Amino acid sequence: MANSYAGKILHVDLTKRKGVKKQDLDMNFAKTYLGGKGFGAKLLYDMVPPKLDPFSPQNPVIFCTGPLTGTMTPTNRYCIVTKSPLTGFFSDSYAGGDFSPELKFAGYDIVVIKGKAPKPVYLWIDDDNVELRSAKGIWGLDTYQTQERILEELGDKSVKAACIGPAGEKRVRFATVDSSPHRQAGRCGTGAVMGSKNLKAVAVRGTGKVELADPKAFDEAYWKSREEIEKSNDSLTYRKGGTPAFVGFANSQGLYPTRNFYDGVYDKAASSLDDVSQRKYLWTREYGCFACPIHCTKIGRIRRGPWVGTETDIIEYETTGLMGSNCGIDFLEAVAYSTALCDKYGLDSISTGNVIGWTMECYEKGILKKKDLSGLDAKFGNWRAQIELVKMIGERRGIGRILGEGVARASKAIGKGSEEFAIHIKKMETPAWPPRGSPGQAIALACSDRGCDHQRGWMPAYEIGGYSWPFGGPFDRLSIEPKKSQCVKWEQDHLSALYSLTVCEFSRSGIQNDTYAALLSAATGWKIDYNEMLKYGERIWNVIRMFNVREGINRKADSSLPKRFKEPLPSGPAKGHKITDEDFNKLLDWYYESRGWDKNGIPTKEKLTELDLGNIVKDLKK
Amino acid sequence: MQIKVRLFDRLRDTSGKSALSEDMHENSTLRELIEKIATEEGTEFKKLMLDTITNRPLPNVTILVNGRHNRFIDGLETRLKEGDMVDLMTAMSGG
Repeated sequence: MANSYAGKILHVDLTKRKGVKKQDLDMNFAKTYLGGKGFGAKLLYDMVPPKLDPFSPQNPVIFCTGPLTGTMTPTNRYCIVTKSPLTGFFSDSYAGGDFSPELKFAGYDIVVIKGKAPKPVYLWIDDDNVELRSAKGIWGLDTYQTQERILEELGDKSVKAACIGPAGEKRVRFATVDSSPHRQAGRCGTGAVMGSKNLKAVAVRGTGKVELADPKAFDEAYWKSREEIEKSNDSLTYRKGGTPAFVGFANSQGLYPTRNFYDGVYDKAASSLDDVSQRKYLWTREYGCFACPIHCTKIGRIRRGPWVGTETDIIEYETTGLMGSNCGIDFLEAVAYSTALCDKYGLDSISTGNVIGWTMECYEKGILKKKDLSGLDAKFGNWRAQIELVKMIGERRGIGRILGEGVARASKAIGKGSEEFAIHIKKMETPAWPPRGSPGQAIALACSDRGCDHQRGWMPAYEIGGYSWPFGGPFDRLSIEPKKSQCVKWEQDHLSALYSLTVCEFSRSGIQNDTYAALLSAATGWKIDYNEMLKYGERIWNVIRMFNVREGINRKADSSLPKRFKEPLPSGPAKGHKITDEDFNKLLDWYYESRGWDKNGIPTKEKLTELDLGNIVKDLKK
Repeated sequence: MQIKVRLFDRLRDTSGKSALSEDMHENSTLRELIEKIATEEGTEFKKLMLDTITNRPLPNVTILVNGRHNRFIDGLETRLKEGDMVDLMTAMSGG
């Protein structure tokens, strides 16, 4: 029976002259791990020995599609899985656009790249023909130039590519991968791993198509999903205003990172950085990823200030928070320009804004002086300084040599008490949803599988918005109760399953859980209901936890909440609230309990066996 | 007494305002405030806020009083007081 997998894994060893191999996709493997995140989790677990240096040639970069990739549903991201050079733990990073379906159309579910090329190369996948081409002349170019040059060289503007910029080449530990047409796999520093392999890009042209096990059932589920999206206020809000439509909400609730997370309210947020301002001063047209009806992205052009004419992407919510308010900057065009620079250098704007906010606080406290910063007057609000700092990080020069290591390593290098206001968990810079006004978020951030991340559980919906979840109702905002930890666990399993289908999470607010299950079942021919999807999510989450356990993760690592979040929030409706150690430990205990892990956060033999992971029980420490 | 109201997402776009200041009599309830705003801000706004049959707020409308969901206070019967901040939104998602 036909199914929606392409049926092939492409293996590339960059060290070898003839290092390309193709392997059939084992359908038992597919049925156990689904795709995307699940595929990457298991492959990484099997390929990477404990304590491997992320920049070792042995660390693979794994591009994964999923069973719904290449279909008409908004499930067309890809994920890159590798051992993160930022955290030293598992990492999965996602991007939309149209690279992922192209990979599937070329005939591959997964591309595994390992080794290190002696000289810069890019991988050219033209359906069945796969070759490594010299990246001489492309190395050193920014992401926009790289995409253009590769398409020119291949003589086909319909080719899709995923590439790195100078930041990836220079191993900035939060370097991104930029994929057609400039959607970024942003977090965890995957771009630096590509750079360490002398791999500038992966270009692909695919002319095949994706089969469906039951086209009629798929069509029914598809139109149901479309209806659900059109009825969803969240989806419609994304369509009109993109993610910055939530700036006003976050700021009103004291959740908006301000001046290196000191506060949660920025008085100029709504008037300068939100969707209304961006629509008025920046946006010129809309953009939708492959087959997505939401169209949350906007393309803009700067019309004021020294950068008139520069084309920019939407400034996403996260970036408004980290590059804007977190650095005390309300000059929209300057933030747009800094963000465009991040995209071109290939820098994660979340980590970049976080590390610059920290630099500004160091400067204001006299820990870093002008002479340390190439003469920059790096006080909060100085957008000129921010722009220069982005360039210095992207080029790894001056203070950028240290800042490009990420805020944890930079603060360790600078010292003088700066570690106390370095805002990260497990070395990953905290994103723009800090926890003091939404305490369940503390556990979601601390127990994310890839460091400190809001996309592995987002609690404001349940703690502030009054949203229900499948196993309970909403929560009183500041309460500390077991169900909050259980809700985080559900969010993680839920997202883990969806990311294995390479779902864009902006569609999840519209498409209902049973509809995803119906789409998956119709595409693969397997009868999988939502409860079973959750089991998949839990299995995948536990494989990743075991990978991280091998790397040393435990209760102590999960408990490394930044000191700032243990101090009272200065403003907003949750003014005065903080995350106490006592509250955090209660939530953590309940979280481990709901996961079936021991008190130290280690999965138990019973739990792994229950999830059909008996084969990795042997890796539990005796 | 004056009650401050902030509008977000589609409510803000439909009314064209991000903040209102409502003059309410002492001891007014949240229900009275919501009905007043829904009436004042026009038909489209009302359709986003209230069920046309029951006249109750639609399930996907979030109503906060001083940052706390009304269901954890006294629901729509919550008594308002001078200086209260009421937030109204129909969408909530990360980014």
